Amino acid sequence: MSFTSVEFIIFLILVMMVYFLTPKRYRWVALFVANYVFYYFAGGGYFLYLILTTLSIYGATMVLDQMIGQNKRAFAQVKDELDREQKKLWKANFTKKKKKVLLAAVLFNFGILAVLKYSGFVGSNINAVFSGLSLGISVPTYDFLLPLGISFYTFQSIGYLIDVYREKQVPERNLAKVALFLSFFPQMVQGPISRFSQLAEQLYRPNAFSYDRAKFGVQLMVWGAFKKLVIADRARVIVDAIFGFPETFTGTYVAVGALVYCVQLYGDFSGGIDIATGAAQILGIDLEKNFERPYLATSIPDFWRRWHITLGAWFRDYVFYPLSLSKFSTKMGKKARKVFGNYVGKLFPVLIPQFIIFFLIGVWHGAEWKYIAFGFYNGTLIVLGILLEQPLSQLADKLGIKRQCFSWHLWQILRTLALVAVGKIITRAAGIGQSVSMLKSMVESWDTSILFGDGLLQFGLDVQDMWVLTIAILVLLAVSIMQETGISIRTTLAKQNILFRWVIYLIAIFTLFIFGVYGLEYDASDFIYRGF
Amino acid sequence: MKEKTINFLKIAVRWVLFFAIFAMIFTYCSDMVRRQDDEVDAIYGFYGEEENTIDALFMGSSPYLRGISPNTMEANGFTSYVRASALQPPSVTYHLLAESLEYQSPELVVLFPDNIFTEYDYVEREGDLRRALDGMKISSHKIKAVSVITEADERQSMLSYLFPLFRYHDRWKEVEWGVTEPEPLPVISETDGNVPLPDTAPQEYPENFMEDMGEALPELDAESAYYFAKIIDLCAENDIEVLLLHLPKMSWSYAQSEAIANFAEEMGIDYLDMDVEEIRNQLNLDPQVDYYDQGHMNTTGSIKISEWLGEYLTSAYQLHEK
Repeated sequence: MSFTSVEFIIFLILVMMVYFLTPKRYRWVALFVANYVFYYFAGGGYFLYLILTTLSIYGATMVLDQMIGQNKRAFAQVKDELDREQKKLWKANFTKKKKKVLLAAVLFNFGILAVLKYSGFVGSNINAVFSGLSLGISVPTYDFLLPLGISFYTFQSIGYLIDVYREKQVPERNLAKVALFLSFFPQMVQGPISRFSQLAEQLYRPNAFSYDRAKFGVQLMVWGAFKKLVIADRARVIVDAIFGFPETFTGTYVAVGALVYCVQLYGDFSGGIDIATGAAQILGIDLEKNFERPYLATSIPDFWRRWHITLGAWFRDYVFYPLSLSKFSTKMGKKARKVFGNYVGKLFPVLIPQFIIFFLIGVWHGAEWKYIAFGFYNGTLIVLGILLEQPLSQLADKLGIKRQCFSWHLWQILRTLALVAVGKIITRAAGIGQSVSMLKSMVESWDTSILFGDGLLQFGLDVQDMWVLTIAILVLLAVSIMQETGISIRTTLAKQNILFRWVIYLIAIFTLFIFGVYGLEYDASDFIYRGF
Repeated sequence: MKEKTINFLKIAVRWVLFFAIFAMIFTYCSDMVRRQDDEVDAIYGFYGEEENTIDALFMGSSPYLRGISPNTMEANGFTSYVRASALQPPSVTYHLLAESLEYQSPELVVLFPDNIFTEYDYVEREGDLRRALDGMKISSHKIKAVSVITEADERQSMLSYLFPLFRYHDRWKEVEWGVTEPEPLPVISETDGNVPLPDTAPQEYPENFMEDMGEALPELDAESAYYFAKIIDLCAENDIEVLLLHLPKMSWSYAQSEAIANFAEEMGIDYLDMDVEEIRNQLNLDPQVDYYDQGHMNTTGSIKISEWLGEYLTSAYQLHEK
C-alpha cells in the first residue's frame, strides 16, 4: 500500500472515519489498530521485528523506570548524609547500572537492524578477503528482505529509550501505547523519526476533527504527490538513463544527471514526507519537520540541518553530544592543542564526532561501500568546512569580497548545491569505481553544447515531458523561495476568495491526474527512502 | 447550534458545487484523452437503443463485430445488436451480457464459440480488454468483469478501467487542448454494433478444409467453458434461447467444430457452423472477394452471411419484432 495509491487514500478515509467516530476514550486504540492493519498490508506481514522491538523497548524502559524509582527513594533516604564526592560516586554507580540495561536493549535492537541490513554486506566482504588470501573458506551470507520502516522505527525507539535512560522522559507504562508510538502508520514508510516527547501525547489524546486542519492536511498531501509523481518520477527517467549508461552519458551529462538526481531525491523523499505529514495532520497530529528547503542551504552543515532533519537531530542528540562531551574527546582536544595549536585543538572535540556522525549517516543509508564513501565524503566536507571557515573568511576580507549581499548568498547556495550533487553521484552510481570514472569524465569531457538542441532529449523524455519537468521544478523553486522568505502558502491561500482557491485546487488535482507519472508500468510503492 | 448547522450546510453546498465542477472537468479530460476506437464506440452505442427493442444479441469476438450486419438482417423482421470486440474473453462476454440484459430482453443470444479452446492471456491482451470495457458504463457488472482482469493481472487497477483518464492520461501530449473539441462516446451506433471492413484480401481454402481427418478433438479451456456455461445458465434464467454460431474462417477444422458441437449438445443448446460445406454452398461466398483476412469477413462477405443468417434465424427461432 503505497502513499500514492488509491488503496492508501481509501485506507486513510476509513481510518479518519473510524478514528473520529470512536468514543474519545478509545481513539488511541483505533489508531493503534489502524497502524497494525497498515503494517500488515504495506509491510508484507513483517510484524515479528516490529513486535520484538516494541517488547524489548517496553521491557527496558520499564526496568529503567523501576531502577530510577528505587534509586530516587534510596537516594532520598541517604542524601543528607552524603558529601558532594559521595553523591557523585552514587550517581556514577547508578549510571553504570542503568547503562547495562540501555546497552542490552540498544545492542538487541541495533543488532536486529545490523543483521538484517548489513550482514549480507559484511559476509560478502569477509568472503572477498578470504578468497583474496586463497584460504578456501567462506562464511554464509544472507540477504534479508528489510521489514518496512525498520531503520526509522529502530532509531525512534532507541531515541525514546535513551531519553528514559537520561531521565528526560517518563516512560509509558501501557504496552499498547508504546506500540502505538512506535508504529504510527504515516511514519512507517520513510519517517520522520519522531521523539516521544513530541509525538506520543498527540497520539494518546482524543483529537477532535477540524475541517481546517483536514483541509490543510489534504493540501499538503496533494503537494507531496505533485513532488513525487510529477517531478521525482519524471526526473527518474533522466537519472536512470545517465547513471544506467555511464559510458554513453559522460562529461556534462554527468553534471546534468547529478543535478536532476538532486531534484528527484528531494521530490521523492520530501514528497513522501509531505504525504505522511498531511495524513497525520488530518488525524490532528503534527509530525516533526524533516525538510527545510535543503537546496537553498549556504553550506554543507546548513544543508544537513535542512535535509532529513530528524535523522540529523537524532545523531546530534544521541551520538554527537555524548561523543563531543566525553572525557576522551576533551583529552584528545588537549593533546591536539599541543600538536596542532590552539585553533585546531579547540575545534578537535567537535571535528572527530562530526566526522563520525556523518560517517554513520552514510552507513545508515545502506550496506554498500558507496554509502561508506558517501559518509567519508560528507564527514570530510564538514571537517574542512569547520577548519577552513576562519581562514577563508579572513581571505575574503583581505580580497574585499562583500559577504552581506545577494550575489555572495547565491554563490554560497550554488557552491553547496555543487558539493551536494557530487555526493549524490557517489550514492547513485553503481559503485565507487563508477562514480570516480563519472566524476573524472565530467572534468575531462566538459561540453556545454549538449545543453542545447537535442542534447537533453536523449534520455527517454520527449520535449513535452521536459517542459513539464522544467515548469514543475520552477514551481517548486518559487514555492521554496516564498517559504524561505516566511510566506506560508497554505495560510495565504486560505485567505483568498473561494473562486481563486478552487481554481488552484482544481489545477493542482488535474496536474496530478494528467501530468503525474503513474499507471501500468509504474511501481507506485517505489519511494527511494523506503529502501533505507 | 443554529450557527453550527448553517456552517455545516455552507460547507456541504460548497463541496457539492466543487465536485460538480470537478466532475465536469474530469469528464472533459477523459473525453479528450480517450482512445478513439470504433469498437469502443460500438459497445457504447448499445445504450442509445430504446429499451427492450432488441430481439437478438450477438456476443463475442471480432468476427461478429466485422461480419454480422444487424441492418442487413433487419429486412427479415427482427432487430439485433452486436456487442462484440476483438478477442473478447468469455468472462467479459458474460458480464457484458448480464449488463445488456438490464437494458434489453432479447429472445435469442448468439454466442461466438471459437474462443472456447483458448486460455485467455489477460496480461498480454490489455488493449483488447479495454476495447470491450471502455465502452461499458460503470455498473456492478463492469466492476465484476474488471475484477476478473485485475485478479489475473496484478499490474492492472480497477480504477483505470472505471475511469479511463487514469489509464490514458499520458496521451495528453497527443491532444490539442483548447483546439479540438472533446469527442464523447457516440450515444448511438448507426450500424447496431457492426464495424465493417471494406478491404479485401483474397483467400484460399486450406487443403482438406473441414474434412474428417481422424484428428483428436481439441480440449476446451476450463475457464472459458465455465463462463460459457454461466452465460447459458443466465440465458436460461431469463428465458432466452442460445445459439453457438461459428462464422466462416480459413483457420478452422472439422475437429474444432465437432468439439463445439459436443459441448452444445451437452449444454442442450443449438450450434451452427457456417463453414460446414452445405451452408458454405448456400452462402455463396467467394474467397477471392468476401474476406478481409483469414478470420474476418469484409463488407461484401458480411452482407452475404447476414442475409443468409437473417433468413435462418427468422425460420429457426420465430423472432418477432418488438
